[in-house]
Amino acid sequence: NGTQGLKEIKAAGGLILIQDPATARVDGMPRSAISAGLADHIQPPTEMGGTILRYVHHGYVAAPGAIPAPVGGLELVLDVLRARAGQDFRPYKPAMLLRRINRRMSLRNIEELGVYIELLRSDPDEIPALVRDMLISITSFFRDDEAWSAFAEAAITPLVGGRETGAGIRVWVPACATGEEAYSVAMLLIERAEAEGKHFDLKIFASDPQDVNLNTARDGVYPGSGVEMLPPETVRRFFEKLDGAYRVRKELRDLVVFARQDVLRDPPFSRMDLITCRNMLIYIEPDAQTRVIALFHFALRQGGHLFLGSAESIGRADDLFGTVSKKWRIYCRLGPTRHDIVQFPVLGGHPQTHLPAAEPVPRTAELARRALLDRYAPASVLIDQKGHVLYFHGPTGDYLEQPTGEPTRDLLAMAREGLVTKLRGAIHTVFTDNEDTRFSADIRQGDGIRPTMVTLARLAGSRQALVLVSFEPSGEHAEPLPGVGPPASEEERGTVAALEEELRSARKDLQSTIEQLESANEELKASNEEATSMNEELQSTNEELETSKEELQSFNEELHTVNSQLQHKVKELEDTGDDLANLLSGTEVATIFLDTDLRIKWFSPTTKPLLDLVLSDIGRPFAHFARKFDDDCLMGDADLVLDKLTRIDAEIRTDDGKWFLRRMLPYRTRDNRIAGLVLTFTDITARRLANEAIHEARIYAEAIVATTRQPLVILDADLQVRSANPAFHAQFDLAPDGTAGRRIYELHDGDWDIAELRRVLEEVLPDSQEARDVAVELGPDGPGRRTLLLNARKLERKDRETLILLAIEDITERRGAAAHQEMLVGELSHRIKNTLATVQAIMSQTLRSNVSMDDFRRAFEGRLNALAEAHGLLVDKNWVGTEIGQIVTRTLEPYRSEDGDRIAVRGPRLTMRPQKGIALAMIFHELATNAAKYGALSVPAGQVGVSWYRDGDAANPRVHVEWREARGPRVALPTRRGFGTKLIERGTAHELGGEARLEYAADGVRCDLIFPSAEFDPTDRA
Amino acid sequence: MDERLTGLRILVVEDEAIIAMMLEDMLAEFGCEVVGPVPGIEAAITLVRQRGLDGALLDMNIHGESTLAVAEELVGQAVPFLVVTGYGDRDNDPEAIKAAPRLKKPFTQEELARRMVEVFCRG
Repeated sequence: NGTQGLKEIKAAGGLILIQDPATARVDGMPRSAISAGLADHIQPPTEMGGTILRYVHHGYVAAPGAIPAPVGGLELVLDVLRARAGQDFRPYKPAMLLRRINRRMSLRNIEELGVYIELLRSDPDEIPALVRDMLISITSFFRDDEAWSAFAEAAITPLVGGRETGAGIRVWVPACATGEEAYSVAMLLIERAEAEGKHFDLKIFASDPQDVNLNTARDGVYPGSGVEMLPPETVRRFFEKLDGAYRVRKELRDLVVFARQDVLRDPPFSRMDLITCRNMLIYIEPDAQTRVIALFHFALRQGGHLFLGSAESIGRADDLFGTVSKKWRIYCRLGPTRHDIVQFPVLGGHPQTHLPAAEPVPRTAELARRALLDRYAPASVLIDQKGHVLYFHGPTGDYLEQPTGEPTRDLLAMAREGLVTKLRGAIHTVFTDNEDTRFSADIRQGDGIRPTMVTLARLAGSRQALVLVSFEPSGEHAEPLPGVGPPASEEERGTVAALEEELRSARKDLQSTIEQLESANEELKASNEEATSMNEELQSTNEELETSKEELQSFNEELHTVNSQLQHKVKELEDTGDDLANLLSGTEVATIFLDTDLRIKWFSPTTKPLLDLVLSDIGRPFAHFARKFDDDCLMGDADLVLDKLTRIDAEIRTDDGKWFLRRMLPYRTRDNRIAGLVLTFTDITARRLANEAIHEARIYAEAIVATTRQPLVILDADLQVRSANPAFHAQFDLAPDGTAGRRIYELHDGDWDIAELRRVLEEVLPDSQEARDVAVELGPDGPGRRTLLLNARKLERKDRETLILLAIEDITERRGAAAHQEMLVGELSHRIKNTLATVQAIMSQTLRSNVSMDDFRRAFEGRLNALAEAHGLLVDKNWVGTEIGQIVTRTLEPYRSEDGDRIAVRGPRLTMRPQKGIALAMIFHELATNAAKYGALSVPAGQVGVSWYRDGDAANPRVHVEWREARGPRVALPTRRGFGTKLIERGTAHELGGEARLEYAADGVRCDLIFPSAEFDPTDRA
Repeated sequence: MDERLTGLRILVVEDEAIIAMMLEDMLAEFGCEVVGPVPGIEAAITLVRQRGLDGALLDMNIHGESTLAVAEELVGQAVPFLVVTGYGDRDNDPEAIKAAPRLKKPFTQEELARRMVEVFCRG
């Protein structure tokens, strides 16, 4: 509970430093502390050290109490405060005030009071700071809860119990600070009333001299720590949770009226049932305390309760309050209203209208005194020095009467005949000589004469000189005036004459006096006229004032009307506010309003995932806040929007991986003025993820399309090429920019305008989803013509034109391969059959020339073997031709001796066609078998030489092969031309196209084969 | 032996010596007069033009060349002939070859005789 702790430190006069949230990584705590309004300094940590050092070295901390209060210094400060801030701290305890002033001085690092007073006069910020410090505002909900329990039991329960439903209950919470106490009382009353099932017209007046406090109290937003100590059901019932704080519910806020009022200066409220004023009296002087207590007595109803702080009491005013609980400082008002003790305004400022007090209940003694006075006291009047009557007592009608004209208070003017002269003298005497006096006079009233004794007695004890004039009837007449009776003697006569002379002179005096009087009277009349004219002026002024008053009244009426309009507007605004709040919570769009200086004007609670804002952040620069998202352009965009008045959208990513659409708009007032910016953040995480998934799928699909070897084309509804993959362009040798947007039929100069393709695209597809394996021929007849296999499929798209996907497979080569394979199989069959025919021919020819079966078998096997060997050679060479050397070597292989020097083979590399190779092999076989039977190879010493060379000329190239036998037995000419000879001759002639010469020389057979040099041409594969 | 074959002049066009020798022997046994055997197309055409042939045994390929020209000459001369080949019927054979009766290799002497009677002795 940091904030509560700060309050206690502040109350104890300590120093509070708070880190500047702009420098904090986690700025929640400093911001919360700042929002409590308790900071002495808000600084980055680097500056804190210096501040603390200056603070501890200051006299306020280093030597508490050592700073002498210069004579009159405090008064000077208080004068400044009274003049500048309208706050009068004279009733407060000087020690406390000095301590506060010293504390401020230490914070401003000032050692002398004079300097500080100068600062107060020059720095407009210092005065409110000092006032805030002096008016300590520490409070909390149900502070000192045992006391509250006692208060609930002793005051609230009987109050609620004693009232009927619908009655009014009035409570005053003077010096309410930030309102917790007022809300506490309200909660207690509501809970109690609900417990008893009653409803009251509850009015709680909470007053404080500081507007700052009142604003906080009206908002009703309190840090969580202060509220969470309350019972959970109370919290649920009376508070709503904001982030990190609680707000008093509107229902409760509406009950409490917060007003600016200073108990020490302003008139009090009245007719209260309860007053709670805890821990205010302790700060003020005993004299002021007494006055405040009297004021509370006035403000309370008869029997109303007063609840003070634990260190306070009613002092000596036990005649005003009865003690209900001494321990918990709960008191109850006694007796009638005492105007004598109530002095308000307490400080004697401007005059105040007294509230009509209740009719005083007279006491018995008073009644008795009054009866005695009526009965025994003579008729009397109280006059002042000027002879004006201040008070009449008893029946004075016998002695006094109002003269005609305006009413007068002049005693002499009212005195009846016979009284005036003596009374004037007596009044003169009593005031000049300072002595009581009495005289008797005969008052003439009608025909009768009433002897009267008049006593003038000075009144002791009054500051003003007052005289009580009492009239009493008396038995004896007053002494008659001289000369009234008959003369008695000469002496007497002489005396009479002297007296008459004296009388005459006296009359003359009198006459002159009268004349003087009359002239004085004239002057008075003139003065009177002046007074009258002045009176008229005053009256006209009065009339003007009346007119003004009427105007004011009509103005007042207007104000009433405006007020009711305003109330209507307020209601509308409240509705709009509700609508707005619901709209914002419904749409979950995080919204922030900034002013033109980019300070926060308002924000919705849904900004929580993006920024840690609390209510007290309103008014702070937006740039100072740590953002929970990545947005480098934010402030730049803000300036741009303010400059260009356009809208800017951006997608931003929060630190926890969500995506928001940040939209920035100018904030336009109703009169189309730009008052700042509107920032909204819409969660687009799902959309963004979907987009990314789509994008990924697209990349995937595109990679497949681009990689596949099968040509793919997308056509639009007009059969124009929308796009085609690289395989399409490569396979059909088309430029990518030459296909897009063209109709497919136009490609390759119209080669694609194929009837079957038209049928598929224009007839089949409109009715079905796809067409499969449609073979079409592309291009004109000839080797370039290609066979394509088409698969077409419609790509239906919601609300958009349908596309056609055309997958093309070029099956030209596949078809060619099939034909080739068929040809190969046919060729193989042909060769086998040809070979079988050859074997058949060998067999039948061999059979013709051999008598015994054994001979046949040997000859047939040899020839068959030679044929097979020749085939083997050809198969080894993949049936593409063979060399003469190899044919010779292979054919003669069975006839080689172990040492291998019987047969010599020599010649250049010469390739022969397969068919001719076989023929040559057969020829060599016949030569070799003959040699083995009859010639050189039939004896061990015999030798055979085989050689060949190119012969003939360039125009007629030939090959000459020589077969030479030597050292064999003597050769005899054959008796008949056998099969072998025939095969050699015919074979050379038919198959090699040449000529064979056989010579049976005596020393060995010679054979020469001369045939065209058909050197192998690899392209000829006959 | 069928005497209807006796004395017929039969042209043999065959490039493989040993098969030509066998045909020569077989025809000699039928009592036919063998013209050839010739291993070349030009030589064969020359012989056909000299007339007097009762029939021909024509290998379909001579040294890798089609004997179509010979077949056409035979058709032109109205000389009946048998195409002797290891190939089966093939759709893409030229008309003159396709229409001609065939004798598939390998064949027996009896088969040769029967086919020759069928083709050469219709008159």
